[in-house]
Amino acid sequence: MSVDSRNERDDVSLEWVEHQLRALSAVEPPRGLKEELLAAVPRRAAGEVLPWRIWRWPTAAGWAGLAAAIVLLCGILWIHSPRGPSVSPSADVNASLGQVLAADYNSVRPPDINALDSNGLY
Amino acid sequence: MGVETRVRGRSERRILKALREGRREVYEGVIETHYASIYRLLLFLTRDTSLAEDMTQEVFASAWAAIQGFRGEATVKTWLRRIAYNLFVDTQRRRKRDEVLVDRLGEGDPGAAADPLSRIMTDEHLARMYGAMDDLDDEERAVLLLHYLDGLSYRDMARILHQPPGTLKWITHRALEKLRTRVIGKAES
Repeated sequence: MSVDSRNERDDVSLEWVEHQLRALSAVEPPRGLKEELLAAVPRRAAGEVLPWRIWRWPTAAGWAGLAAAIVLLCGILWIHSPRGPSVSPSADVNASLGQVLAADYNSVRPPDINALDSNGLY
Repeated sequence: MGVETRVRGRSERRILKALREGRREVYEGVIETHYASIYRLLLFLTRDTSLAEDMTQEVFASAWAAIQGFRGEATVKTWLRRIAYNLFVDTQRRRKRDEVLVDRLGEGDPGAAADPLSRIMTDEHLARMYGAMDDLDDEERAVLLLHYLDGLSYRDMARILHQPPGTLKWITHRALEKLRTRVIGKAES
């Protein structure tokens, strides 16, 4: 198939274009390029394996594990978290009311008002 | 999923694992398999042999640097071409190049004889095709090169060019038609 003649312009089909495009792969890279690329292979690729460099975060299992750990930690913190003031009966016994009664009992008033009266001047 | 796809998937995973482990022979194998096509892709995209050579080296350097982060969603072949195309787009953004290689070869460059393109320039049809590709935009050129030179499927191309496969099919057809028109035009002129 030729494209050299004006009379043959209809011969330039899409298939011809596709064929010529594929033929462009005949281009070879310059000599020496492959050697340069091989020389640039990272040093650790020469058999030196660094475990901490090849570790990578596992995708699904990693995230699921992280979520489970967070839930567990939150649960532990919630269980051990301090609560509000206690409302147990034993606390009432020693509450402020009891202190008032004790204070009344040991107040600065005369120890026995009735005795004072009975021994009064009247 | 077919048997061939599964086998290819296993093979890809093995390659990726070996690359992560730093096995030199696998690095060499990947270079051997892909460097020529990466170079051609960049050559026809940039229209500059020395730039294409530099960028090919940059593609592999970037790939090795990023190998630990590559999760293997795409094949190594697609991944390398995506790096190459992204590098080309970045380079284009940095420097808007107007010169075309055909003109440079015509200037009698002393290095032209050793130029890899000189071979196709002796073939009239290929030279005409190469010249006609100047009239395509970057995306059209990339689509044609990836599809016809590299044999990539539209699905793989979609991962590289970030366009839906249907759109890429349409761009391919449009680019072929444009190329055909330009070839006719050049033949007449």
